Amino acid sequence: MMLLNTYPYTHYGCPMGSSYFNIPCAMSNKMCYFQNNMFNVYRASSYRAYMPICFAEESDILQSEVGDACCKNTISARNTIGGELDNIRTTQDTEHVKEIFNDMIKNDKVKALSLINEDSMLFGSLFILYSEIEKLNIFEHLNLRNKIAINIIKEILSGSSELSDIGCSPCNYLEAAHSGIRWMLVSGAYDDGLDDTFDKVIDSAASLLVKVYSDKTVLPVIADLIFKRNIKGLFHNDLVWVFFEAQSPESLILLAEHFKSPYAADIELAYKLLRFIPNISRRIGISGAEIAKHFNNWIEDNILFLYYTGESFQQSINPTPYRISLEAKYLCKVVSVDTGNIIESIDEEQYKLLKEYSELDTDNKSMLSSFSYDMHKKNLKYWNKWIRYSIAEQIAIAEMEGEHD
Amino acid sequence: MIKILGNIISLNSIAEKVPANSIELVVASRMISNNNTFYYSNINELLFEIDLRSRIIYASRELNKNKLVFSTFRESRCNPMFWKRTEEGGFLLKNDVMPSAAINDIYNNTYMYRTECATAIIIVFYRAIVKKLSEYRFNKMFSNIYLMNWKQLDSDLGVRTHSNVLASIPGDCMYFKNPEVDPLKMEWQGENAIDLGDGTYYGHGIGITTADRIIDALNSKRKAGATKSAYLLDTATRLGFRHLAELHYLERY
Repeated sequence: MMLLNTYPYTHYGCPMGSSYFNIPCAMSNKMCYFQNNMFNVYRASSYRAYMPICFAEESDILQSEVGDACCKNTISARNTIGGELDNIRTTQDTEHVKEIFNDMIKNDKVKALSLINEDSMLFGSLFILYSEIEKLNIFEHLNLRNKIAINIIKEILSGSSELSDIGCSPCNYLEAAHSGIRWMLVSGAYDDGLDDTFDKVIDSAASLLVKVYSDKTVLPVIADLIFKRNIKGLFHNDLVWVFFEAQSPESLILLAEHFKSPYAADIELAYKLLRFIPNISRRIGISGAEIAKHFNNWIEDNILFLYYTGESFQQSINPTPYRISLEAKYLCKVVSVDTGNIIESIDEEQYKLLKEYSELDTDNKSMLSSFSYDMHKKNLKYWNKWIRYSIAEQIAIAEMEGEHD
Repeated sequence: MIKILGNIISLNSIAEKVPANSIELVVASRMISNNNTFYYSNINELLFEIDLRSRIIYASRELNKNKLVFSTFRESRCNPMFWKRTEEGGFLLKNDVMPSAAINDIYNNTYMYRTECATAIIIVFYRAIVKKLSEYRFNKMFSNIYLMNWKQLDSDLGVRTHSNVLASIPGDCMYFKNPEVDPLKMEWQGENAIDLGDGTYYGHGIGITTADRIIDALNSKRKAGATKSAYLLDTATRLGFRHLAELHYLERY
C-alpha cells in the first residue's frame, strides 16, 4: 500500500492544459486564491470534498491508464500487476480459465485458493469464476474481500438481499465492504465490457461507492468508463447518473478534459453533459480546445458557488445538475453543494445587503455577483470598501467599471 | 393565462370550439388558471396544443391498458421487425420501415416490448403526434427515431424541460425524484409521469395513480435507513407544441 492523493492520477496522466491560472479554493470555508494547473484544481478544490487523501492500492495507480489509448495497453498492465489468474486469462478464453481453476482445485486446492485470494488479482477473474465458486462450494475459503464481492454479485443478480455472516464485526465490515467494493470497481474497470452482467455489477459497485460511502476518489474511474462505453456504444446512463450524484462540482473537470479528445464522440458527449454551462456550444469553427478554455474560466469563477440540483437526463432533455448561487458569489461566500446555502457566517450588514440583493432582477444580480467576485479576487481592500456601499451605489460603480473595461 | 396576439382568452371562447365535458376543456381551463402565460399567434395554434395534449393523455391510458412491461435499459426488448435494439438498450428505427408503423406497432404488439419509464413517455409523445399529424407528414418529419431517454431526441419534437412550474397542465410530463434510492435499484431513481388531468398520473412501471401513491412506490425502493422522501419536482417536460403546430398547418394550407 502507498499513501497517495489519488486526484493527481485522475485522468490517464494526460493533463488537460499546461497553462496556469488563479483558482479559488475553500480552505476552512474561507476564500483564497493560488496558482495551479488543471490537475491541482481538482486536488485543491477537493478540500471541499473532505477526502483529499486516501490509501491507494497499486491497482488504483494503474487505473489512471484505463481506457487511455496513449498509455500502456491493459494486457501488458495485467501481466505485470494482476494476479496469476489474470495472467492465465490473457492467453485463455473464459471457459478454459474455469476448467483450469476446476482442475487446480482438484489437484492442488491450497494453490488454487491462494491464487484466487491473491491481493493483486483483478475483480474480472473473480467474476468469471463466480459460478465455479458456487459449484465447488469454496466460499468459506475465500478472503474477506472476495466474500464481500461474491455476496454483492449475488445480491445484484438475484435482486434480493439476504443477511450474510462473513465473520467480522459490523465496524470492520463497513471498512472491509468499502475497500472490497472499491476493488470491484477499480480493478474491474480493466475488464469493462466483459459482458452485460459484468458491466451491471460494475455500475452497481460505482453506485454503492458514491451513494453509500460518498467516495469521490473513484470519480476519475467512473468518468473514464463513461467515455469508453460511449465510444463503444455501450450502456453508460447509470454511470452518468452516479457521476453527478456524487455532488462534486470539481469533478466536472474530468468531463471537460474530453473537449480536447481526438475523438468526435468524446467531444459530443462532453458537450451533452456540460451544456448547462453558459456559452458551452458546438458552434462551427469553435475548437474543442477553445471550449475547454471557456470551461476553465467558468469553473474558476464559479466552483465555490455551485450547488447540486439533482436534475438528470432521466428527467430532462436539458438538465442543469449544478447551479450558481448568485447570492453567495455576490458576498464571496462558499456554499454547501448539497443545499445551496451559504456555509460561512454572515453578519447583520450582509444579511441586509442580501435582502436588498434578492429583490433585484436577474440581470442586475448576475452583473453584481460577477463584479463582486472579480473585485474580491483582484483587490480585497477595495472590495471591502465597495461592499459597504448601498446596493444602488454598488450597481452604479459596477456599471461604471464595466464601461471602462 | 392564455394570450393570442396580446389578447387574453376566456374559457368560454374556447368552450365553443371543443366538445363539452371533454378532456380538451380541462386542458384549456388549467391553462387559463395557470400562473404562467401561454402565448399564441392564432386560435388554431392554441387548439392544436389543446388537442395534442388530449392525445398525449389518451396515448398514456392506451399504453397502460396494453400493459407495456417495465424493464431496465439492459433488459429492454423490442419488435425486431421495426426496431434495432442498440447495445445501450435503446430502440433505433430500422431503415426500411415507416416511422408511423413502427410507433403504432408498440401499441399493436405491446407484448413484444419492454423498457424504462423515460422511453415509455417518449413513445407516448410520438403516438400522440402520429394520431394528430398525417402519416405522410409524420413519416417525413421523423425518419430517424431513437427511443431511449431525454438525452437523445429528435429536435423536431421540440421537447423542452421547463423550470419553476408551479402547476402542471394535463399532458405535461412531470418528474418524481427519489433522492435516496437504493443504489442497487437505480431504475427507481425517479419516475417520469404524464399528468392525466383528473388528479392522476401515468408512470410506466407504476401505472395510473395519484402523486401520493407514486411517492409511496418510490419510497419503498429507497436505501436502508433513508430519511428523505421522494418528491415531485417543479419542472415539466413538454413537446414543442407551437413548432409542431406550424408544421401541421404548413402541410394543410
